Amino acid sequence: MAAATGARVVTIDPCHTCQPLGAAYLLLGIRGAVPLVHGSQGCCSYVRYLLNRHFREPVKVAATSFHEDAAVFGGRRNLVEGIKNLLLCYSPRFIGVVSTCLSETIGDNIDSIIREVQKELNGKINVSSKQVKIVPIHTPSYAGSHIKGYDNASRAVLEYLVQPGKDSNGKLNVIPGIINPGDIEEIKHILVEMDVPFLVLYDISRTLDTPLEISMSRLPKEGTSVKELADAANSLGTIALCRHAGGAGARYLQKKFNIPALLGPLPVGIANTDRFLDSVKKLIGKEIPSSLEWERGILLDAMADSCQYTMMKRAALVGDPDIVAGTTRFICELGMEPAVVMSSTASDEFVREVEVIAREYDYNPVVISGGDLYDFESALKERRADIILSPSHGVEIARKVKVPVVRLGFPVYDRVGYHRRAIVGYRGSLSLLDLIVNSLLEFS
Amino acid sequence: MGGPITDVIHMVHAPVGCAWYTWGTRRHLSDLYTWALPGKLTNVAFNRRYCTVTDMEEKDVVFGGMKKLKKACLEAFRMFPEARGMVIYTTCTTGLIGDDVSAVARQLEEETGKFILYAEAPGCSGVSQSKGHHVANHQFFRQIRKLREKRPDLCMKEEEKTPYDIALVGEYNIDWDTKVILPLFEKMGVRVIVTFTGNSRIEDLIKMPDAELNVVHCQRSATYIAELIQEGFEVPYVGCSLFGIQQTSNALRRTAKFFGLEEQAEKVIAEETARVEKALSFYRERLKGKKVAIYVGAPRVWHWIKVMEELGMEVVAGACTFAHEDDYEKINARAKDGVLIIDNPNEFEIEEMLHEYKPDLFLTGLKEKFIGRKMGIPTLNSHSYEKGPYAGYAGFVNFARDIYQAIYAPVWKFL
Repeated sequence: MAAATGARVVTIDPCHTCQPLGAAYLLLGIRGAVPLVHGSQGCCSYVRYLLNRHFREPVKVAATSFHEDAAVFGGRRNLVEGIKNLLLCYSPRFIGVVSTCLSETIGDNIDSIIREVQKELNGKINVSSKQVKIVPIHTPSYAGSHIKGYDNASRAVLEYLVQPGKDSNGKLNVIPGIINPGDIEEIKHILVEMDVPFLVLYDISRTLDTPLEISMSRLPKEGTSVKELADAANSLGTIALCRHAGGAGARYLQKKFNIPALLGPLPVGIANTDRFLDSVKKLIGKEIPSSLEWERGILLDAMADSCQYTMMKRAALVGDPDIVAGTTRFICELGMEPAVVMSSTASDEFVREVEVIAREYDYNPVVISGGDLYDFESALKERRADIILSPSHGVEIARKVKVPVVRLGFPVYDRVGYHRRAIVGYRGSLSLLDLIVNSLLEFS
Repeated sequence: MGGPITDVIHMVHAPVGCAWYTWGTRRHLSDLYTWALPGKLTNVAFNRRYCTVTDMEEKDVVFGGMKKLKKACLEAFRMFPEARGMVIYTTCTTGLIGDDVSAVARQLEEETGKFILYAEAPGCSGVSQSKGHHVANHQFFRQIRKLREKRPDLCMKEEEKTPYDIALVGEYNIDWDTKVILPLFEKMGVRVIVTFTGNSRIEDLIKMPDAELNVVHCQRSATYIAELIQEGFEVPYVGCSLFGIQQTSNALRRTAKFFGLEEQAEKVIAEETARVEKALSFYRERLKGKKVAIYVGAPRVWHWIKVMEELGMEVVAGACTFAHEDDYEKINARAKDGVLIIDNPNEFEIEEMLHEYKPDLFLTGLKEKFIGRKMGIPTLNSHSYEKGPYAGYAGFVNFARDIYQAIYAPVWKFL
């Protein structure tokens, strides 16, 4: 059952945010990169703030800091000066210029400004365009959400950087999407177990979860290098773990360089992880090792041990479309009934995906595409749930309807460590299962 | 500045992000609960629980958002009939396309009979949030004055007034600061009729000019309105700091002097000081000689120089996000020679400051505290606090405790 949204004009408790966040999230996975938000200070400050809260890490995001004059006469000067300043202070290898509502509304042509700067740089400042890549990314906040911002950026960066060579590199590209460092580490673990050479594009796992060691390094030394990104055009295949966030990059590589692309589903639970392993096997031609079969067996064992706690429990899920769709299938595998399933960002594909799962398991959930949390809360009045799976913003709703909550997705800022947890793969699903069962037990 | 008002809908007229990021961030707490059972105040209060936004989309930006705004506001009132009013905020996008929010506010006021305030301070219109404080002070004052003229029944009635009424201005109830501040004034016989704007009700704010005296805590963000009230209603104001023993005591003394309550004030000060002395001496002993860097909004830098001195610590560097000249004058008057002062530093400069001055503690906001930590410097969230309140006497003990916990955490030994 798809619920109608859009009848209401006011948005109450939105569960998505704006494109620049998604773009910054992606850019922070590039080695030596600084996102440069072309707009007012708030557009940068708040993006940083949110990332700081979720990861509990320092995050570098720069701003061209629009004031009234820039809003009236255009932000060209701000952008040129901003880029020069960044180069002088941080010597980044990569600058992603992220547009905003403001710069898009006044019609700043960031593409042409960047071209001019590049030309100028070749002569004046001690940096040539070969040493630093400056890429424009269009992310007006009033169109789409943070998911769209990530998706746009995933394509824009590749378009600019990829260099097809003569030979294949034999690698598998993985575009993570807006998932946690813990998830990326788990995907890497699986690929290592399968002995698959891989290239995680936009790898935040070691830039947004870093050890406490006193160093004066201005920029994180980890993340995907510009060289690696250029090599993405020579891989054997691309898996975008999240169809909605990163799918555009995978599709671009497929269209332009004929690299097979698989988009989702996010490997949460048994069937989705099985499918992920099969996809890797097909693309790269490696067998699934017994070590992963062991992990699968452990997950099955835990599912059998906990079925008395999970069966016939009703779950309500909200969050980014791929995380919610992936987790919905796992919920069904646990014998739980999805009562309300809502995506932060509107998507027909999401609705179809959830409906397929629901038909398979013979459930009739309320499916809301791109609603706000008020929709979610209202739906919970019609359909009672026993547990809510949601980012931190949904916690108050769980308190109100007096059911346990499992924090899931982005952002989680009211508890520690969720960015280190994985929900993908057999091991990640196991940890999610433990959370769900223990939350139910704790509450009863 | 508007956010802490508890019983109104805060409508952000903007694309979704502008509202979403601010939702539930600053911990300006309040006790107005819309749905908790009596005696069970477990939820977040109304003003922080909900985030309402017009979610401007591309077509709205092209064709203008006034109609959408009005419709959204009317809907919000239908959904939250208990809300006493609304504050509408504009942002870069809606400021730029020129939506006339004042016109919409007028229409809404007529149609709903509720209090509608608005603050037109788009992000790009000023150097920092300080411009927003300035604009909102003036706009709120104008709107409050107009309301009082139009509806004299909203003013405080003569029989409700006492000669000892004050308004506490520029106090935003971060982590329940008002819980430790208000009783101090009350114990010495002064009545706080309203706080601008921490945990305040909209109707009480309209009564602000009925106080005998305005006591201004955050002198950067709210001296404007105190001055406007002084001009418009002949209510004097005094500035004060309510952090640390000395400054809190001085604030009470200054207020008491105005009302002739000096004796009562000294009694309160003696009692309160005695009560916290034992705990403070524990921390003082352990914090003595530690070096501190402070980077916060503006007034807290000069408020806290004294506070750190009271703990035996030494401020070696101070930086402000949005200070003006008068803030720096106050900082300079209090800072010892050789203290580094930076105006609105960026991250690069902060790193350099920490590297050069190697403080034992970095008092700063959420975004920067992780920078310090990664450099091995203990930090404290000094905007929303770690485990506040930090103000007044009792709060000072919390402050000292959190500083102690930050510096003496065993983790630093392993680096």
